[in-house]
Order: sequence, then structure tokens, then C-alpha cells
Amino acid sequence: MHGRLKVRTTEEQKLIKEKKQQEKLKAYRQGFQQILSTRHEVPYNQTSFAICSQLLIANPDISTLWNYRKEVILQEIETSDKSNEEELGKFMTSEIKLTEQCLLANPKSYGSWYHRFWVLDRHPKPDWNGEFALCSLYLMKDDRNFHCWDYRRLILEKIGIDLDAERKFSTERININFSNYSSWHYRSTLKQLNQESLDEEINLVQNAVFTDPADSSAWFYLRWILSSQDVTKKHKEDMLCKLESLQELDPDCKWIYIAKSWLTKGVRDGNSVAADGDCFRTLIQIDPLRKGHYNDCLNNID
Amino acid sequence: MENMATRTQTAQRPNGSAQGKICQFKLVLLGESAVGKSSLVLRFVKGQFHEYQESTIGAAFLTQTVCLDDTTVKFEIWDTAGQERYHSLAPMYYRGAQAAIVVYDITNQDTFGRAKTWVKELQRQASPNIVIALAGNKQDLANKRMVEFEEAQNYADENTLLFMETSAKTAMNVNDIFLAIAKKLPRNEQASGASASGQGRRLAEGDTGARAAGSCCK
Amino acid sequence: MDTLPTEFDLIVVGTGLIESAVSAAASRIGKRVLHIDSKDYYGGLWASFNLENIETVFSKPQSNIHNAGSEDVQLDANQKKLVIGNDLFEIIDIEQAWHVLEKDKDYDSSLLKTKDVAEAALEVSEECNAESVDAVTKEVPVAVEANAESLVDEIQAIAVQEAIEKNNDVDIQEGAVAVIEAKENAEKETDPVLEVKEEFNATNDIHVEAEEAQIVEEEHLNNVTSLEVSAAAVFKPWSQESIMKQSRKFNLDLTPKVQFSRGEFVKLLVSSNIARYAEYIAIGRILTYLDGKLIPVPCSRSNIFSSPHVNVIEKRVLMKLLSTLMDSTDKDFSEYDGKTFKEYLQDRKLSPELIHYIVYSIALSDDETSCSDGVKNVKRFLASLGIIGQTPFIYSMYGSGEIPQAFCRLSAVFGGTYALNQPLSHFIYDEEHNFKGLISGQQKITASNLVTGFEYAPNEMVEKKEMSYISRGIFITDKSVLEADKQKTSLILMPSKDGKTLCHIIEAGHWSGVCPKDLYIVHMSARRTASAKEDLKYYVDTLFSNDPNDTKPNVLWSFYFAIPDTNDKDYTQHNSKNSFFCPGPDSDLDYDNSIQKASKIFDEIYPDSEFLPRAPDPDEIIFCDDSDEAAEEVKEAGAGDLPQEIEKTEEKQDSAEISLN
Repeated sequence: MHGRLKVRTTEEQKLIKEKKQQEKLKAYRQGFQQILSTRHEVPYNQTSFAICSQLLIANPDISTLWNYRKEVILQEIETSDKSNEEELGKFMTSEIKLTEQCLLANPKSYGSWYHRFWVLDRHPKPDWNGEFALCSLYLMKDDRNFHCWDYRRLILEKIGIDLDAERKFSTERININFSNYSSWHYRSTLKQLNQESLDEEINLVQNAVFTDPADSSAWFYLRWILSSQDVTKKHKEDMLCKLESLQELDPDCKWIYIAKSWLTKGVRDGNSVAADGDCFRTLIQIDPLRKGHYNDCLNNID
Repeated sequence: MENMATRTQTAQRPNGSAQGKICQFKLVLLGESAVGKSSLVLRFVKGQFHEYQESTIGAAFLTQTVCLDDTTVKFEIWDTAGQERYHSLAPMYYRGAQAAIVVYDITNQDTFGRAKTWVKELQRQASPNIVIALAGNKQDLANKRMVEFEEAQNYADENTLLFMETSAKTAMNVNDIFLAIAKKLPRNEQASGASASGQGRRLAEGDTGARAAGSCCK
Repeated sequence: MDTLPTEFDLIVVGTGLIESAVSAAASRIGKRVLHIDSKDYYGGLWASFNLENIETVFSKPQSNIHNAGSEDVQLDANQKKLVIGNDLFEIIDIEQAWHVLEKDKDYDSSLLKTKDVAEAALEVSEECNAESVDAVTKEVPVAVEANAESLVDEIQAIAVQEAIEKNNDVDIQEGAVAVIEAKENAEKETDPVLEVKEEFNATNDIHVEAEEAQIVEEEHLNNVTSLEVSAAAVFKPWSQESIMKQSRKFNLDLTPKVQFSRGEFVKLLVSSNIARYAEYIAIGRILTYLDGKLIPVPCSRSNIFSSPHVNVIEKRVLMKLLSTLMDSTDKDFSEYDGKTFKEYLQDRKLSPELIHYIVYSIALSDDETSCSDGVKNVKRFLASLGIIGQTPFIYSMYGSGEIPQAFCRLSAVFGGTYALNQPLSHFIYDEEHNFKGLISGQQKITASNLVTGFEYAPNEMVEKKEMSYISRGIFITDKSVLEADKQKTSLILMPSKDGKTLCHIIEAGHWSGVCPKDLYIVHMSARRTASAKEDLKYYVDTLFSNDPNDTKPNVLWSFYFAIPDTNDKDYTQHNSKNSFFCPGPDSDLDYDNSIQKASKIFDEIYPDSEFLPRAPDPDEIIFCDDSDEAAEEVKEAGAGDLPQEIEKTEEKQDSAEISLN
């Protein structure tokens, strides 16, 4: 009866898993103790430093551990000079690799993103361009990770920004998924609105709000556009007209009312005051959760 | 001076982070029935050997990892599931395979001839950069040898195949042949996609489509 | 070859999709299955072929059905033999044609865009090391007479290729070496142009081989993009010879299908763990033909957002309609009983363009599709959006022929015995119409049940009715029907001129593993009314062109045929309770209906068993040394009953037919 196959049942697998979990937890606690007890050693305790990596890969959200690493790195930077710059570089690069593994474990770990930039910024030979390419690749896989969008801005501060390329990049991301605060927001930080690009942006945002008026991300971008000094009265009138026709199709969408109130703000005449009043009164009906806010707006008109 | 010492130590020592990247490869076994394909896999994956190994029911494929430098090479090993017995192996079996072990039995000349046919088939039909290894199995039965080592070695050299005589029974060269393959496989990001073109993807439970399966550096 | 075992629980004849799914399901629950096919390839009418094989697949006798040896097989007194195969089932309208010249050298030099080639060569030679080009061009004109000019161009092309390779840092491979040799020959040549030209022919496939190397290395070679572009301009017209040389790179589907990424079929593939045997690519876009143009259909939320073909109002109307349909129930359409889906949309006051997109693409319908069917299709379409890529569809890498093979593999993994290329002659029945076994060569093989592809059903057991057919066309073309910035596998849904039928068209490129680089495969499928060629003429004329300078693709090779659609009617005529006939491919775009039929057959044979439960993952499989230990391990883990697989394995111990490989 040799060499037979059998399949583990789910119960067996569960038990095995639980047992492993317990062991892991024990090891984690021990490791943490070891680090804390050797934290201030000079030169640093290499065993603790290695354990620290393992703990962070398991859970990258412990700032104490990241701080410990930074202390060690500062110690290393302080004690190195030109002659061993290469070794320092290798050391720093392995830190960057560590953050990579941590980000795979948790792509939204604040500590890992911050550590990555912090290390690169102190690296004797930082490869900012390589980092930028990596960043683009990352955003193509996960375009809603705002950490990475922020990170991109930080890198661009280092290597200089190509506005056209960035606009193109953001358009591509938005075309793939326009329900994405991060890419709209990123677009707004590119700050390149002029007469010509204004029309393009208005067109883009119209496409989004018409496709899905319930999606709030594009409305916020519209609000930002309207803050531009280049927006003319005609722009606003055209937009109002478009919103009217959108409202016919979606009478219950609160964002259309809200956007209309943005458009009429500051250019009020008698008619629009009445219209705005109606607007907020309807909003109180369809969005009762924000009743107080709309009441406040109503008072402001009067 | 003391500082220097610390510095050097640090550079020599990794900072404790785990293996840098994981590359996954599809490896297929080919060869006549009863040459010991499954036994080789079982020896490699589980460290076991059974004189009367049952056919591999239910074992669609097994996985085993090999560590090389900073890379973890994960083999996804496909067994023929007996489809070769009546010469009915589906071409799908070796599609997209990045590595193949063609196995023959050193005590049986026919199986060596059949192995050559498989090599030819792989060269014609499989991915152009597939790594092929030739394994002369049952080396423990060398006293009944019908295929000379030199003959197989020469054939392997002519066709740029890796070659080893192995024994699933004694474990001779079993890990070595997989390791040799792992060393020869490209370990960069692009080359380790699940398919030859790097375009294909596998489907999985809860697939959101956010990432292509089989891609490296997960 | 070993002789086959002679006793099984189930014999499955034919390796089409439905047969293979039943085979997998039966093996999965531990039944002893013999899966046998008279052909030497998997998939039957669902198979894919390379270019060389597809030309011969229908010209060979359609199966390996013959009587040799069957007389010697002893039957019981009450048993009778029925000859395998029937007259009803026939593939018709077969017509294969090349639309390029036979050999490279048949191309007159005037056909080459001489000027472009020279320019491209010049451009590259400036960028690369120009020496080799110069060396050749200085030498050769001396040796050449009339065709001097074109020859220089050709040799420049070789040199350019070589220069590119050098620049790319690609290892000098067989191909590249041969290029250099050819060049040297060209230099030495004192006599006739002809010989030099033949050398060039020899280098043409090398050119292609070198390109393969480029594909492999592509990712590393971002810096040479400009050179690659120039190289494309040097590309020679295709010839039968140059295409046939890459025959094995083709995977041409007899039955091309796409799959809904969250359809019933894909759900089953994933839940049963069969999905891991196949690789997929996303259908990147859906195209339709509207106002004389091919247009990407705005079908997903992001497509609708970014499509320049629909204005903002239409965007909203389309989105609203789709979400209304998605949330609808049957009751919402009660007043459209007996009316068409198109009528429903017209009543919603949609623009003709939107109606076109919805009816023909999103609802996969035609003008006559009922409202309820249209709505059902839209729901199915929307449910699979946003899973993989921009459309609801995926296509199996290396062609649709992979799919039956994946089921067969699972069947084999669970102990199914596979035998292709078998001489099949008779089914054996008793007087009560019970299937008893079959005769293969001189062997009598028995089983409790028979599942067979319709093409193997004996004449006595099929009802002679008029057969409907699916018209099919396969085309090799030289460019995409609509160039895109990225490689996109396309689904083109084109209504007939009268809107009464919908033609399904799939276009795939080399990245799908179905053809060599720089070529495209186009599959057309439509209901047969006249003949395959006539039925598809309108679509061929619309999408393709004969003019090499046209932006439309040229057809280099075409293959027409029509296959029986055994799904529409019930052709079975027998009282055998243990015989089940599987229909062949249907005219659907996907496999959902076919897999349902397989599931139904399985349920009839094994009513108490689950159809394709999940197969274990590798980490769930353990090997154990003896049964005591196995039992102990289970006990230790706290599990109650022995897992099904253990019982199954023990059952297998008694069967002597398990190979010991």
C-alpha cells in the first residue's frame, strides 16, 4: 500500500493553519522583545536588525520598527565616508528592496512608502529615474493607490516634471477608470489651466459626469476647474445648459443641484437666487443627511 | 577603524529581508511510460520513493521551490497523467512550458529513442527558448544498462540539452537536475511570464483582472 | 503499443467539448473512463490545427472507422453490432485558396516598394555601422544585369537586418549566421542574378527567425524602436512558401469561441480547478460596422466615458438604459411579449446609433431577437464586464482547441484512460437496446454507459432530418481590420445587410498564440443559408481588400467550410437508456450552452453526483507510505470520515490497469 495519494480535508488544513498562526505570533513577540532590548546598541545589533526586517515584512505598519531602522541607517551614514560609499549604497539599496517586499504585503502601508523615500533621499547614488519608471508601472496595476500618486509627485520634485507627459499619463489613467479621486486630484496639481486646456478639461469632466453623475470624483474636479480665473461667464452658461439637460435625464441626482449652485455663485441676479433656493430645498429632500449644511446655504442666499 | 569594521560587516551581510524575487516556471515531464517520470518528481518534491508508485491520480501538478542567489525559483511541475501511454499526450501539456525534463530508462534502449522523439517535438512545437534537460533514470540499475552514458551525453551535447543520469530510488542527481535547470532559466522579470509571449493569463477564484497571473516579482 | 483494458464504467467516444467535459466529470468522481477517438488529435470539431494540418484534415477520410479484425470479435447470443458513424453528419462547402504567389522569387521586383526599401535601408545604415551595407552595394552591381536595382535593395535589406541584429546585441544565432553567409555568397557571385536571388529566398525565413529572437528579447530592446520601425518597411510581401514555413505557429480553430469572463462556463472552469490548465487573453475591443466604418463599441463604463463616437447625452442615455436592464425583472417587459428587443429600444426613443450598438454588440442579437432574449443577453454581457480587460470576453491562448484538452487532462489526472487514433468499427447492443461495448480493432471493450459525439452515432440510431449548418471562414491577413495603439484581440459583431443575422468575427494576432508575427487570423461564423463562401461574402468584401495599398487588410489565405449544427433539432432516435449522444458545436459565441448539455448528460448517468467538483490544489495533496499512517494522520487532524479520495484510491488498487510510470 505504498505511494498513494490523499487529499487533506479542509478541517485538516484549518488545524494546520491555526497551529502555524500560533507559532508565528510567538515568534513575532519574541522578535519584538529582542529589538527593543538592543535598540540603542552602538554599533547596532545585526541580529535585531535582521529580525526587524522579518517582522516588517509580516506587518509593515509598526512605526517603532521603521524608526529603529532609521536610527540604524543614520548611524551608518554618520560612520561612513567617501571610501566606503559603495558599501553604504548597497546597504541602502537593500533597505529599498525591503520596502518593496513590505509594499507587496500591504500596498497602502504609510511607513513603507515613507521609508522608501527617506532612504532614497539619503542614498549616495539614488536612481530617481528608475524609481519614476517603477512608479508608472505600479500605477498602471493599481491606479487608485494615492500613496503612489503622492510618491510620484515627490520623485518628480527630484527629477523635474514634464507637464505634458504627466497630463497624458493622468488622461490614460482616467480613461481606464474615471472613478478615481487620486488621478483627478493629481491632474489638478499639474496646474496648467489656460484658455485652451480649460476647454479640454471641461470636456473631459463633462464626459465623466454624464457617464455617471452619481460618481463624486469628477464633480470635485469640476469644482476645482471652476476655481480657475480663466473660467468665463460663457463657460458657466454653457455648463449650466448642459447640466439642465443632464438633470432632465437624472432628476434625482444631488450632484447636479450642487454643481448648479457652484455655477451660479457670485453671478447672482434675482432669478438665480430663486433658483438657488429651489436647488437647496430639493437637496434637503434628496440628501437629508446633509440637511443642516443645505439649510445653512439657504440662509446665506437670503 | 572600528567604524570601518562595522561598515564592512554590514555590506557583507544582508539586512535580513527575504529572497529578492520569486520566479515561477512551468516544467513538464516527458518520456515513455514507466521510465520514472512521476518518481523523479516525487523524489524532488517530497523526498520519497516508492518501488511500486501508483499513477499520479489527482496530482494535476506539484510545486517545489529552489533558491538561487537572491531569487526563489518556483517550479510548477506537470505530470503527463498517463496520457502518453497510448500515444495520446495533449499538445496543451507542453504549451508555454519554460522547462522540460525528457526522461528515459537507461535499461531500455527504446525509451531513449522515444526520448529523442520528444526532444524533437519540443524543439519544433514548444516555446523557442525552452530549457530542455535529458534524464537517464534508473541509474541504480546500471548493471542492466542498455544506453551508454557517452551516447546520451553526445546526443545531449549536439542538441544543447542539459544531461544527467538520475536515480529516483537513490536520489542521485535528482535535486541537481532541477537545480541545473533553475540556473539556466532566465530569472529576469520579462522572461518568467506564464506563457511564451508573456501575454496569457491564468484564471483564478476571485480574479479581479488586476494582475496577470504568472508574472514575476509578486 | 499496449492493448487497451477491456472493462470500464464509461466509454466516451470523441474528444469534442461536451464529450470531454462528461469524461472529466465521470473520472473526477472515480468512474473508470475510457476516452477514445478515431482521430489522431484532440477536440474533433472543436480542435485547432496548424496551417499544414488544416489543409488535410477534411481531405483525409474523416475517421479511422473500419472493420479490419472486427469479424473475429465474439459476441454474446443476444448481441448485435452497429457500424459506427452516420450519413447525416458531413462537413460541406470546403474551399481552400491562397491569395499570394507560391514562392518569394515569383514576386517581380516592381511589386516591391523599391523606393521605400531603399530609403529605409539608408536611414538604418546611417544609424548603424554603415560599412557592411556599403561593402555589399559596391560589389554587387558589377555582377548584376537587368535587375540590378532591385537586387541592391534586397541585399541592403539583408544587411540592414544584420545591422539591426548587431545593434540589438542579440546573440548571433543560426539565422544571423546564415544571413552573413548569404551576404558573402552574394558578394562572391559573379553569375546570374537568379542564384543570388535564391540565396535571398533562403534568407527570408531567417529574417523571420531573427525576428523571433527579437520578440523574445523585446523587453530589453526599448532603445531600438526606431530601427524596428525601419525594419518593418523592409518587409517583403508574403508568399505561400514564407507562410507555410511557419505553419506550426498557426492554431486555426474549427470552432472559434470566446468566453464570458464571468459566465457559467468560466465559473465552472475556475470552481473545478480546470482553469489552471489553460491560459487566456482578454478580448481587447468589440467592433461593429456602422455608417461605412468599423467603430469600437462603447460597452464598458470607461469605454462609454472615453468614446468619441457618442456625445454626452448619449453617454447618459446608454448608461441609464444599461443599468435599467441590469436591474430589471421579467415582469418589466411583459408588454413586449412577442415583440423584438429592437422594438423595445425604439420605443425608448434611442438614437439609431445607440440601438445599433446595443442590439448587435451588447445584446449579441439581430433584428429578430425577442425582447426577453435581448434583455437576457445584455445582462449576461454586463455581468462579465470589468473582470478582465475592457470587454466581457476572454479568448483561450493558442486557440479554442485548448479547451477540450483541458477537460481531457483533468479526466486523465483522475485516472481516465486516453487513446487517440483508434480503429473504431462497431458499437455492441443487446436486444433491449442496452449498450454493451464497442469494437476497436480486434478488441471488444465493455462498459456500462456510452457517451459519444454525434458524428459517431450509428445510422440506425439517428433520425434523418434536414441538417442546419454553420458557415465558417478562416482568413490569414496581413494587418488588422482596425489598427490600434496596442495589440488587441478583437471581436467584430456585424449584422447582415438586412439585419436578420449576426456574423461573429474574431481577429487575433501573434500575441494570442494563433499565428506568426505580422500576420492576423480572422474567423467568421454565421448561420448557413446559401453556402459558406456566399454567406460570408458581404463581410469579406466589407472588411478586406485586394489592393496592397489599401488600409484594409489583404487576405493571404482563405478557408471556407460549413459544419453541421446538431444542436437545433433532436436527431437522436433510439430507446437505449445507457447511450448518450453529444451534439457538436453550436452557433453561439460562447460555451455556456454546450457545458450545460454536458452537465445534463452527466446528471442522467450519475444523478447523485456533483458535476465537476473542485479538484484539489497541489498543497492539499499529501503522499503517504501506508494506509495505517494515512488513517492516523486523518484522525490526528480531527477529521471524521475518510476523504472521498482515499476511498477512491483504494478502489483503484484493484484495477490492474494503472500505469506505473
